[in-house]
Amino acid sequence: MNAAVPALLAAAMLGVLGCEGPTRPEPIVIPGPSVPSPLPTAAPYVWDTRVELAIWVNNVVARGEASIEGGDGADAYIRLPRVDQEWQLRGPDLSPIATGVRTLRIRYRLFPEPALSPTAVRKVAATALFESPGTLRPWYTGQPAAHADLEPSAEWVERSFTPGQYAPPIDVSYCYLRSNGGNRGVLEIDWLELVQ
Amino acid sequence: MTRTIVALATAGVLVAHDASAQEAPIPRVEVGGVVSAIVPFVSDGANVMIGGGPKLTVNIWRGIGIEVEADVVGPTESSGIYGLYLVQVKAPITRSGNGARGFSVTAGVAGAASYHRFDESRTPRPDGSVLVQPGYRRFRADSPNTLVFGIARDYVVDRLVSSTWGVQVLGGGIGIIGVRAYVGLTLGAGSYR
Repeated sequence: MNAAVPALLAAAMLGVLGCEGPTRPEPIVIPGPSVPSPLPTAAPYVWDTRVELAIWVNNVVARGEASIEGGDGADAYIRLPRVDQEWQLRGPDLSPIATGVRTLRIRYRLFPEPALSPTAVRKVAATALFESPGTLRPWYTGQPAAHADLEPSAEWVERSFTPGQYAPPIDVSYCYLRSNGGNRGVLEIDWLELVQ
Repeated sequence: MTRTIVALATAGVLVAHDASAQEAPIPRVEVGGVVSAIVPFVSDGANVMIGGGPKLTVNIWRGIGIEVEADVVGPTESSGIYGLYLVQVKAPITRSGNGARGFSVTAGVAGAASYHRFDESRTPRPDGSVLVQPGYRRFRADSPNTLVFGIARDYVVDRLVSSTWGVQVLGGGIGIIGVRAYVGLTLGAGSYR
């Protein structure tokens, strides 16, 4: 009868069995083009003047039709005349990295095309994406994203982007703002700010 | 579960003891393979899965043995290799006319296992960077949370070869109640006759 003991021990040991092999390895990122800043990047992270806004428009990552209008100072703004097409604005590389960032906030106005039908969607869905070292997640692009539906407004209005799948605050090495396009209209952005 | 296994093992010991007077030699270790058909009864019906794999038996005392089996089963609806591992106690209840082998009862536990291989993936991002997910392999073995009870029949084919078939009922942790039937051959490390 004693010979049956090993059998029962073996069965008992199985109760604690259950294992999983190597887990999914951490993803890595091959960096894209850099956008150096001609100005020092330090808090508060606000881009308002013509020179500052031009960083977001004039780089190899930016897409779509965009120009800088207004004066040289704080009255300058970015003009996107074709929000019906994909557009993208890339902020400068932040050195040192901005810490404690919660989201992106912009001041904008949006003029939908007057010829749009009364039932046409007039808002612009935009997304702010952050390159955030250390927050890679094994899904989608791995970049924290915040979203905003920019409603039509003839007056300047401020709008903070709503964090998506990330839990703020996060560290940010750069930010970019983009939209896949919607209906025709003109979007003007007076300033952009990383909210800490 | 443990109590059940103990009861079955005890019953087997007693039967084996009664039959010991006409016992034929049983190899201490047997190695072989089985082909199985598994019919899990799930909510949307029964689908037959075919499996197969190696089998190892260690005969401990008077025909009572511990069997370890690993079946690769399919088809499944997803990629990867899925399997079933099984550890059970086998206790003889009858012997054949020549005293060699006969019917046995089996009781044990089983669990699911899977193996997946994921290739490296590269996801371009709008800012021109690329997210690289390195390829990897993943093996997973669930805890043995399924009870298995059955009956088996062994035939000595040759001095070193024995055939086996059996029918088992599976139930419990894998969320189904199913039936598994198998046939196989084993080679004994020692003589069957």
